[in-house]
Amino acid sequence: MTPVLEARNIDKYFEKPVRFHVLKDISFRLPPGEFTSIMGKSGSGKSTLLYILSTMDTHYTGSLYLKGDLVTGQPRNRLSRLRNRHIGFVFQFHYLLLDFSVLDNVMLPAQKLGLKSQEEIREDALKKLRMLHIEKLADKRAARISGGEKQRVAIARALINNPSILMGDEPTGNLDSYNSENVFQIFKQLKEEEGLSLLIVTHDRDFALRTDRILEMEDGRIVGGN
Amino acid sequence: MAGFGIYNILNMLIYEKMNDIAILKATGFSGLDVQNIFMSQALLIGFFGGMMGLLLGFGLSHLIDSLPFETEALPTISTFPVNHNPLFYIIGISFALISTFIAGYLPSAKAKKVDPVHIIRGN
Repeated sequence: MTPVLEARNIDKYFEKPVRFHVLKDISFRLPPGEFTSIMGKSGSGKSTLLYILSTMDTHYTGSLYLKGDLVTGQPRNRLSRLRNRHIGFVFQFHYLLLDFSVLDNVMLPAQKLGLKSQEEIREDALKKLRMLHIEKLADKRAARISGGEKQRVAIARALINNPSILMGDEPTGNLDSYNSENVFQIFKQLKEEEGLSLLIVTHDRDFALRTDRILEMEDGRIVGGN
Repeated sequence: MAGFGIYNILNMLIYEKMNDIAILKATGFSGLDVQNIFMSQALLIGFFGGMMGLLLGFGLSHLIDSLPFETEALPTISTFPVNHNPLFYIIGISFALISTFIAGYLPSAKAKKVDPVHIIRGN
């Protein structure tokens, strides 16, 4: 089976303030439908790795494959397209467009992709909101909903194009335990019911222990779970 | 002058909207998409500003045109002489659009280059 994501010998240096070897020879594969977490202390390179895997950071050596296709070295607008189509991203901070309605926020990536009509996109967005039990918020302005709700809207937005993989950088980092649990259950449900692959950076050990696989990072290397 | 104003407004706006730019890029909008958003904003300001200028100019010039102006040196003229050649209006709007285009280009090129990783990790 082709892995959703495969990293081969990824190395990265930070040049500032001094040259620093952040990621050292990282190689691993993510099979489809797996819920993986990346754990490690701050400074271990876990977020840096995630941003390389998300195709946003292109300053590294080694190679990255998305569904068997080489991503490394592709021009930026191709990468934007790949990201739009195949990768859903949830951050610690929700990054919603606060002047827009919840529904508009969720619809935006699909409008960019441009494969469906406005009506279909609207239907899809409502379906995602319903799945996350927030359909009643659809017409509210994003600035007017609570933190936990914002993060769920961000998840709905990440899912709108039915991505191959959902990535998260501490998606529960800003939430209280009730909302964290809620987000975890959503992720688990996505994996079980939709067969979605997930890759979540976290330093919440309880969260990580309940995922299928933990990639443990230390000083820029994967030291466990590979 | 207006060009500098627009340059400043856009610079501020882009600075304020840094997070939004980052998320647009993270969800798959290209740098060019982002640049187009800000360019269209600059040109909208230019277009409406230019139009308002033209209307105001049109009104005022007609008002002045109707003012009495009698002098012995120019016996054929009874009101202020005003040239209503439409070319001046065309030049006016073109100048408004060109200057806003230039004023919008520099800040929007900066927005195009924003590195989403830098913004998102910075928070």
